[in-house]
Amino acid sequence: MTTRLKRLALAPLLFSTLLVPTHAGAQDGEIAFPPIGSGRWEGVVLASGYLSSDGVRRDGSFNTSVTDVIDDTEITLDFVVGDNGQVTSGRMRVDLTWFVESVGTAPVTFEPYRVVSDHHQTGSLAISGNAKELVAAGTLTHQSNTVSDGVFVEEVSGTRIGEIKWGFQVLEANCVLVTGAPVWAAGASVMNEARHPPGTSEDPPYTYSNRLAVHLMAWPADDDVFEDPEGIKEALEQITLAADGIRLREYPEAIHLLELVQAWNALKAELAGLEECQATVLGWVPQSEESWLVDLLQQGLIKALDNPDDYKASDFIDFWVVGLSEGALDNALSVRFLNAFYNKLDEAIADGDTDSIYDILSFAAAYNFSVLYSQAMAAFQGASE
Amino acid sequence: MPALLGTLLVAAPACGPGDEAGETDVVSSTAEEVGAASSTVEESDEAPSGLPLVEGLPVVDVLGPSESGAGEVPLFRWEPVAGASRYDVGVVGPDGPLWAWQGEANEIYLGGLPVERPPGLAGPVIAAGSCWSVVARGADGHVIAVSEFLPVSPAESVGHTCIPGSGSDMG
Repeated sequence: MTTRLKRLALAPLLFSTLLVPTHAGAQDGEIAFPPIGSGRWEGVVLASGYLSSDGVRRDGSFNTSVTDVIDDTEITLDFVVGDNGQVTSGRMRVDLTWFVESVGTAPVTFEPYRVVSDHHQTGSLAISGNAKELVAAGTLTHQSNTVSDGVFVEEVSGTRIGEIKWGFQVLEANCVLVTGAPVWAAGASVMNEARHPPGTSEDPPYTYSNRLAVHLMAWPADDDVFEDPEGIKEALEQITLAADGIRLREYPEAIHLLELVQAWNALKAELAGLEECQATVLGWVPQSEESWLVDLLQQGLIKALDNPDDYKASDFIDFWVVGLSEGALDNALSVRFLNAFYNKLDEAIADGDTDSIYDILSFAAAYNFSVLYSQAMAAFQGASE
Repeated sequence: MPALLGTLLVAAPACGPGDEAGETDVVSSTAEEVGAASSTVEESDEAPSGLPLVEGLPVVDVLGPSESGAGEVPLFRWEPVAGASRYDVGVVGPDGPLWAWQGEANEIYLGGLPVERPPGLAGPVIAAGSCWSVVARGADGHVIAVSEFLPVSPAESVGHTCIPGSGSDMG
């Protein structure tokens, strides 16, 4: 695996969409842009992460492939919602860059190869739909450049115009937040791959891992809606920067995850200040996995747990706190954390590291982990004697 | 020491022993569903009290919330600690760890907003029989002071006591 592939394998991929409503119609039982009325919106689509596949063909040749959206991707949008809750006009400006890198051996000849295709899609799509589903459709200019080592590859470099249609389902729409994610895609683009299910195909037996995430974020464009519109934009920029900071680091520090959580909460605090929203909450649909945030945090936590020697017990407490704060600690991660704490306690006892024993004891007490608590207490008392 | 966390136990009472590796999903609801976080609850002036989280360590003095009537989105408050660079707030609900926060401030609403959660915004809510604590940490990340392990309930107290590490072990 090349250095680039190694880096990519550790980089979560994330596409994310968040909408913040100004005015829109609401109907019982439906997601809607609250409060009632028309309004102008603007937003971004965050994209991050990677998709990989690994497999061995029947003849024994193999292929490993990674698809990754890279950092300078920028997708922005603005649209107008009419009194009936329908988008009357809008544009999504796309500047989307990704690459696909494959290494393997050719069928029959087993000649090794490495192929890298860089892709860049630019253009503007028309936005339509409503608060249940937003659709971006139109044509994009698609530039691609393919280089290869080892085997002949059909030339796919060049520039072409392609029809694109992306559907975003709005997952949450309340007075302060609307989030969405892509649910379907047509036309050649990495957006299609974002929906590829993880798992294993039967023939050939390829394993797919999809950490590609797409999330849409938007907010009222009318300056009079927010007391501090710049605060909203600044919070969004901080979220984007913090997200990039996590996925670009092979070994994250808890502070990077905490920065993302703090930026996310800063955005929510800004949005919470929308008094007119507080007066009218319509069509709220609980979603709240905040899957974009949780997914990114979990990837950071897994990286840390995969490399326990790089962290102290207090670092793992930081990671735990950040994960728990946003509901990112599922059962499997909790088990891994507790195992990590047991191991750190062993190390602390062996090293006579009383500070770490205190840290683990306090942690076990605070979260009521009885076995860890009793073992840490025994170590604490032993260290005190 | 074995890394032995392959088996999960049934949930323990909130402030008895925690079930190691028990479910830790944040209980999410909305202020709309549960009622405004603090609009209908009068918090007592009495300072909360409980058992020390860890005996022998300096104490973080907690200002609130009271054990009962904290509302479903309580405001956790404590006195600043000299030398602390950050604080960890941990909340344990009836089903295990519920929520945590880390920051430099010495007060925070459940869920992490610095302001009262508006109606319609999702987030964790306090269940009856929960416990919470705050830990002060120094610049090197190590613990320098701990609060008591404090009971908290959204409405009337359920009369529970929060005892660190007092519960059954996992199998």
